[in-house]
Amino acid sequence: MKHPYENQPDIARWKRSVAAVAPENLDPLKTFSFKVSASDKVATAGSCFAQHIAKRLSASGYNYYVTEAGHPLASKETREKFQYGLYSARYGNLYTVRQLLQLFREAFGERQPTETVWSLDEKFVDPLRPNVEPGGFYSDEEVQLDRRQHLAAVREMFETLDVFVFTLGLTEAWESREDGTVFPLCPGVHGGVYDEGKYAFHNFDVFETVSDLKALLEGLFSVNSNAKVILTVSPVPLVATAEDRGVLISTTYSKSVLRVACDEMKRAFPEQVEYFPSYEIITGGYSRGAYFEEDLRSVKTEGVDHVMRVFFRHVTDESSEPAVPIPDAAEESFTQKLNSMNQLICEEEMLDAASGR
Amino acid sequence: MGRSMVAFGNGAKRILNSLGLSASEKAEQQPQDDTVGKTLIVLIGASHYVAIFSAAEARSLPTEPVEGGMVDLRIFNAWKHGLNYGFAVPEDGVWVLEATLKEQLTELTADYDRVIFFSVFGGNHHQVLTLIGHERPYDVYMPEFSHVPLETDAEILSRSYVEQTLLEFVIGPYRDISIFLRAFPKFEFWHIQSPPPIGDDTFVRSNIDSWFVEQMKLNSDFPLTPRYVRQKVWQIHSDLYHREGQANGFELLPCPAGTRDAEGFLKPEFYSNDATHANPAYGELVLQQMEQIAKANIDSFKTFG
Repeated sequence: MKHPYENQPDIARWKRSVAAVAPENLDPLKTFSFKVSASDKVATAGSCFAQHIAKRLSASGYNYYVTEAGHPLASKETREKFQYGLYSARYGNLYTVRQLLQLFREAFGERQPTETVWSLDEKFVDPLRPNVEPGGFYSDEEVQLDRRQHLAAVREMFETLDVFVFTLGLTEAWESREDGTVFPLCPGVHGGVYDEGKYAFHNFDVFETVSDLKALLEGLFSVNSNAKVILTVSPVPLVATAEDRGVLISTTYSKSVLRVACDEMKRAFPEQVEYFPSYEIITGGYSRGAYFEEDLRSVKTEGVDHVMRVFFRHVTDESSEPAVPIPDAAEESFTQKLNSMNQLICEEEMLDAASGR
Repeated sequence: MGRSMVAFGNGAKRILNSLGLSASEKAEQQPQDDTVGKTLIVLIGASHYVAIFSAAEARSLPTEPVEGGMVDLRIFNAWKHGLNYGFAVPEDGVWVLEATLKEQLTELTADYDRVIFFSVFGGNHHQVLTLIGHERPYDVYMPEFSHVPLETDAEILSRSYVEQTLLEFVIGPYRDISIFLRAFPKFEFWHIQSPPPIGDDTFVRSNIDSWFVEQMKLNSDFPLTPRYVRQKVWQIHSDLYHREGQANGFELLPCPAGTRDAEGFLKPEFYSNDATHANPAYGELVLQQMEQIAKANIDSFKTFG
């Protein structure tokens, strides 16, 4: 009788699928349980690395789904500067699972954070996305109004997306001692004032992370039963740790927790959740670190290319034609037309008024 | 010393206050000498100069300096150049004042003790951006407009977002102002605030420039941006020039006192025959502001350029 390993395919064997393969050709995926078609509305969220996926999807003609794109009165450049379209809604980077869970709950009226505004010099920021408004908002009220609109966009996104790609980034976070709200930045770094009595460091463990992620997905499926979810783990190491230990050790801890949580979700929701191995493709020893920049943190374009090659090969439905990316065509024309008309307006005035002297 | 106050005497603070300017921060920069010699006022820019030009023309002043006169007004004839004069030209990687005009201005200003530039560059970008209603209605929250409810069902844009949008439009006027500041660093420089928006939607609709209707392919029932939103964007537009002036050494000359109605819109007596400019009566009040700054009446007027 043969032992179980004898029937395993090449991809299950290190030598044949990793060691003997040219690095750029490595493909760790065996199967992917669903496909993303060109018409599927694909929403993204997560840590910085998730931005790569969003950009590539958009550039490749897939239906990168954005429910908070910024008013088209502004140019594309301005909208980008204000972080519209960076992700599917203007939530900025969501590093921890808890952040996304609390956003979901706030969007659906299940929680209300106690702290809703931080001061930043003479302006104000939203503590839960302190970097989305360059220089900050002009008033407390403006922060609240913008957040109200943001939450509506988040709600719409969750209720109407087809595929949700969530890139898990960190386990370390700063939270409010008062109501447990987790912030993307330590208070005082960009708005707010650090106060040991008000804020505490929290490094989420695997049980908390699994529990949060499960609650999030249950919530998502309750408002959108057809949604599919692709989980990835960011390969980008921690820039610093607040733990009393080396950042390399903390990085390994964080990524391990997140990676385990992804597999737990795959087991919990086998029909609706998949894991995509961005983390393995970038950090795997097979590449000998070649996908990192000199800072050993930033991912090189070649690395993103590799990730996306594998993504498109396995995740997208190649038989379907990618959607033509035309979201801004009509919107742009409004401002451009007006801009080009400025001179004409002036001339109209001049026709009746001036004759020279 | 602040360049815009170089030639101001002790009465400058009083003048600025009467113009509605905040001059306290500038007061310490004022020289002690209250003597002002012969003054030249130069008006440069685009379409908003017409109201001032027409007001000056209505005064039937001599075209040449008069004996014993204190203030001469010279207005750049923008119309002659189809409102498309290239004030700024590239030279060695930077924008500079076009050489012929610079030479002309150098000659024009040579015999004066004091030269004051007034600019109406740009001036209508807030109208360009906001006059026609957008298919996605928007509003801006501004505490100073808290007495006005936000537009129902409008998307609320942050003030910074509107600022950034306007900045992309006003980059040209900023450049034009900056080349004058660099070319004539010893002269005073004021930018004239655009007239307040017209609040009467019926007037705006019936007097809107045909270009809007034709270029935007609008039906007769085209939407207008709500008037208070127009006023807010005008305010933001003005504040941008004020901020730019503080950073780069020019003053914003506020719209003349008494030209706004109780709601802050342009009074009907200052409406022009279109939806975006003020009339010569308004221009006359601006001339009077200029004379307050010059501390004497204008004695002669003609165009140049």
